[in-house]
Amino acid sequence: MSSLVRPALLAIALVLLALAPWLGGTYATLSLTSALALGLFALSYDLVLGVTGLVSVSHATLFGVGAYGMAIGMTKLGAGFWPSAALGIAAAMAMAWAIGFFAVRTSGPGFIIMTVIFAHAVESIANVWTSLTGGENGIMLSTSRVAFLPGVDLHFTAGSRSAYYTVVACVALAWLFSRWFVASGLGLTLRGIKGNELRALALGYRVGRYKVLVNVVAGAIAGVAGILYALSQGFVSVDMLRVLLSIEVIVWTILGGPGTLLGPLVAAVLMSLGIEYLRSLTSQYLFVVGAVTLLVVIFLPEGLGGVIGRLLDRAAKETRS
Amino acid sequence: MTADVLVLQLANGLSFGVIFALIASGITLMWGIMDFINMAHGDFYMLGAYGIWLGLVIGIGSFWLALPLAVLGVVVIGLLLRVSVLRPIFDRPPLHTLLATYGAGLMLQQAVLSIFGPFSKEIALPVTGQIVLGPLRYPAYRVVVIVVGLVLIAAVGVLIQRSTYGLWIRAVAQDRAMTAALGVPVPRVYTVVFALGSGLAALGGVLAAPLFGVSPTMGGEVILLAFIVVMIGGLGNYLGSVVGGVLIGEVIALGAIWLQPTVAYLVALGLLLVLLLVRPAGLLRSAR
Repeated sequence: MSSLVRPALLAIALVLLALAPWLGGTYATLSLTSALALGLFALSYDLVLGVTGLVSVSHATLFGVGAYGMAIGMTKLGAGFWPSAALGIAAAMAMAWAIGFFAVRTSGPGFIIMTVIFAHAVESIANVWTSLTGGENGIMLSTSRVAFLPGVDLHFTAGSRSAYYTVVACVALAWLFSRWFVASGLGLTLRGIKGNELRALALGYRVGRYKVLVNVVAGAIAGVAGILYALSQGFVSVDMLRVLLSIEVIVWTILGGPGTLLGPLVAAVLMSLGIEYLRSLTSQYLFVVGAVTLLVVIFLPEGLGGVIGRLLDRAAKETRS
Repeated sequence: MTADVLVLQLANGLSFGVIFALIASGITLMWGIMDFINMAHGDFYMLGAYGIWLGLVIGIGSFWLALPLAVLGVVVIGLLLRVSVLRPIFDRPPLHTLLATYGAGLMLQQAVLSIFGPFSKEIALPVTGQIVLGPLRYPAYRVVVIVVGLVLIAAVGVLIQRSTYGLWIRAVAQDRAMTAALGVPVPRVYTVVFALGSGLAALGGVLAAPLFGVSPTMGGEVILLAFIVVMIGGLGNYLGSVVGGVLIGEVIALGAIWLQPTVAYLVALGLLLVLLLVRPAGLLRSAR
């Protein structure tokens, strides 16, 4: 029976995803577009935390740098969409490389602390260097129409359907790429590092280089996610690269099940929609975000997938006995 | 620039450095003994500053009477945090304790924000005079900060080196399982370290409050420098965090002569990055 459940669920999910912008209004489409961009962001983080077992607290830095790179290219340098997007992705990859390069030089938890330091540093720079980043106000993206291909324009006005489907397509492509990446020889090495780093070192793998590499690959995807998120929102702000967002993506990844790729994606979409709703209810939503972080760590460290799996096991045992 | 400015900024750097060292030494102690990255450490510092402000507002007339009360209050909050949410997850990997302390810190920050409001509060200098040394005049309170901070840092250092608890602390840092097998009450050692760390950060906040003001976000502003100090000193190295603190304090103060404050922070970060290339284990070799 379970062999039928999975394809059926997948088909229902795909149909819902395809029809969503026609079922809901403009606001629902906008929320979903942004949430899916955050889902893509969580998917990229799963390559770092879930697949390689690296704890990085600077993933939102890459997400934000990608978006700022594109926004600066479009508004300050007056470049077109594609060169600006390339600039954003390149900036995110360069940032990922720099953070990784210095972080792998330290041992053990030094890696984590170095990512914390970089995340805080970039956040302060974005706040203070107002001539480049607009400081607290951020950068408004003046163009809502993006020359995607010659003759094909995408409308990135808030809640547009073409924006939604673009993000869905990017998420699907990134998911397929990630699955291929994890299954490849390189992915096997990364999983080996997660399984036993010392053994991988002893076998002659240059573990540090692999860590930097996965951070750069995930950084490129995070940069794309940041660009899509910024386009759907119409502006880039410091909120996109706060340490808070880096912590949230860790929580989403844990909730969804590290290493499952689809799990963190789904968890990020649902959780970010939840936070969006919460933000509309109360200005104290950050208090709730803190409480959720705490509760997830204490009660759901194996994620929702782990809990559901355990419940299913128990149910299976009871029906058998 | 004259020599006067240089000397004044060197002295300012020492007072900054002592405050950084008070925060960083707690982070480094907690890591060294409990494998625990405390993301809420900046919030203990912030709570210390609010504690002294509250003490003075509710009518404790003397700064020096309110100081121990504020520090004690923060230690109590820290220990409550430890027994309520952190005890069940202490043996988990660093990722979990990092997330838990971040969540707790965020809640503390939001609580302070909603109770006391977003605006910065001022505290009058408890010591107003100036110290005159030849042609130089220097605010006496900053000298007090340097002296009080250094004395207490040294006191905790002596405690770690000489007392029974200090012996246990160092033993747990070296080999937790063996120390527990020899009958040392490891959970109680953790509690002592947690109290010491949160107390040191609170003291930093109390001493900093009259200089920099009191606001809900002050913890976030200082935590970047504190982590840089911890890495420069070598993670888990108490003396290293003190030396690193003073070093970064001087960098910030001297940088402020020519640069904007944030750019001076970046110089501090650059210093750490260069150091990582030259001496990856920190300025002093790690004590662990």
